[in-house]
Amino acid sequence: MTALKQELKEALIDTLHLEDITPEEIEDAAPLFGDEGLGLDSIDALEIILILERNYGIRIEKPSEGKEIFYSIQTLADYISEHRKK
Amino acid sequence: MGNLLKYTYITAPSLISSIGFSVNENMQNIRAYKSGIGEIDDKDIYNKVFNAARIDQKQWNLAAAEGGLNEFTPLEQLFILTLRETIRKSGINPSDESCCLVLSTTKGNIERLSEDDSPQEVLLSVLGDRIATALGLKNKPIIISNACISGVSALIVGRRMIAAGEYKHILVAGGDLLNHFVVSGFDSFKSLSATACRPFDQDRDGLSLGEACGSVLLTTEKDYVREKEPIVLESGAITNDANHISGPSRTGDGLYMAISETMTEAGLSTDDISFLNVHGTGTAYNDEMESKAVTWAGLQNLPLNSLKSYWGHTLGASGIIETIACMEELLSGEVFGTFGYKNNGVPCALNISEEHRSFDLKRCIKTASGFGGCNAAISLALEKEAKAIPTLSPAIYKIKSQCLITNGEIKVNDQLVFKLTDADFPDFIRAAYKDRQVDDRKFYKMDDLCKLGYMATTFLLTVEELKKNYNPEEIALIFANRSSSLDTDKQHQTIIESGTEASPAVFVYTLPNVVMGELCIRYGIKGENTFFIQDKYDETFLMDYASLILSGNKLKACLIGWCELVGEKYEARFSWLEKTN
Repeated sequence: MTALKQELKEALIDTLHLEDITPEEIEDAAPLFGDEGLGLDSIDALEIILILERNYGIRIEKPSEGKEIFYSIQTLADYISEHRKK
Repeated sequence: MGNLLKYTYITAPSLISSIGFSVNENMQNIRAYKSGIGEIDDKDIYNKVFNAARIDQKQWNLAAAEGGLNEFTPLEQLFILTLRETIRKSGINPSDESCCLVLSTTKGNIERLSEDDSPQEVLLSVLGDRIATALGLKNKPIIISNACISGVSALIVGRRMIAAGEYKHILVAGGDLLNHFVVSGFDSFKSLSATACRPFDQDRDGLSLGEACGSVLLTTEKDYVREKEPIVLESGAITNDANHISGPSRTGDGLYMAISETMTEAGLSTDDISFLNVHGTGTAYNDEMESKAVTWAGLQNLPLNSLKSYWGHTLGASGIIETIACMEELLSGEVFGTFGYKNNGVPCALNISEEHRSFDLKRCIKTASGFGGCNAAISLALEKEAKAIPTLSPAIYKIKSQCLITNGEIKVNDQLVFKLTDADFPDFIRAAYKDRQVDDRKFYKMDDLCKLGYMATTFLLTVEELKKNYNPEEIALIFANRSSSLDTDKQHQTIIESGTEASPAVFVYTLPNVVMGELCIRYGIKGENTFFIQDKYDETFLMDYASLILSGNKLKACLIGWCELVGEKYEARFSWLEKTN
């Protein structure tokens, strides 16, 4: 799980162009979206959907389905470990 | 204010779409509830089966061959065919010095772009020149690429040029095609309907794309007007909602402001308006936003429609072809039904019907909204009801400051303020960003074109000063460049050619006006946004246009931005103008 979370943080930093942020600075439980967290937005959510498809074989059809799954690195990692196909 | 203007008539419409090769054929099909949206299984366009409204290829090829247009690209053929019809119908002489052409398109000949090749014809200015030459126009065409409001923007810009006395006649045409580039991008946004779009319906599940081309003539001279009752393009306004580059405002404030300013300019009250034709794409957020804006403007009880379920969303064509439908509706006294609409699905219920309805009509408001947060509205009226609008006389302004970025150097008012030569653009602009100590985590997400425009602006404006001195609605952005969003277009093309799914974070930047959208968000600017495509920096044109829009009562300042970037070649020439009279 720790390795998966590290992998996710690196993927987010790389794909979502979170320059100036290191994986260590992203807390597992902190919200990814909204002003209090990493400040991700709806385009980032679509990019996370692509990461899930590409890296873990998980398909999410509607961005709205992702709301709770994408809450934090922790919720994302939990969902992936349960549903991953690769 | 100046003298009262002779009316700007809008006339001689011409239209090619998925449901017909003439205005009459299109209207007949709409009256018969025939939609152009259907299943498309064509690997040349997309590797998945999808739904969209496509022009009949056989008839198109025939029309192009008959018109002697085989050497032109498909979109150029459509533009030339429709414009020839508008010229023929109106009897205008296109080579007249007092006649100009305004073109609206988001992506032009983008299907000619490939990973290894970007031929000249992908440049919108080249497309414009080829069309203008084919039609024998003397004046250089004015090209607008401002996302999905381009068509409505083109009508507004055309009307203003006439109101300022720069031209007597303006041909306005808008067109865009279905292709891999556009379809894959919208699909990556998960915004395509699984079947056909159902604007404002509770079961709506996204938009349907379409292709079309339409044209009209704007003229001050009634001799060229062909309608039994002349129609006047009275007024229009463009705003930005400064919310998000790909999502509309949640409150509808930007669109509300565009409608409200359009009404103010023509001195209209809610009672003067008979119906509205809105953008109505069929996405959850767009339709919701529009319902709020229309209600805010007090127009929620008027008959309203969206025609996207007939033609699909035709991007740069939509503002023109939907305006043509408005003209037909005004003349025939019917408000077309919103095909596919069954039950209200927006928070503020609107007066929508799937059936066509008859009314005594005198005036309508047409709106559009698009990526980059832009919104636009116009008012069309039967001549007997039309309001006389004052002529536009240019405002007096002062150039307060200027910024030039090129070749690793940044100059402000001719003084060198930053230099980093021998670095590639990403390193150079990052170093400049760090040097300015701007703290905005959105910066790194932007494409290079936006970063260039963003940095140039930081040397001219600060958020605090702007907020202190101006209301958000008092500031306009008038931008231009040569290559549109070609640099990011190539990135998107490379991704889709590689066979992987398109990236929404790349696709969103394949519209040049998004740089203005980013600036509006950063600085809280909500005034006009217009993006022109020109083959070279034309300071006189941009400053003259700025002084025209500053002549109204609302705008007090304008940022002019030439913002050009392709690969390692970049040039930003920004000027901050303040109105003095």
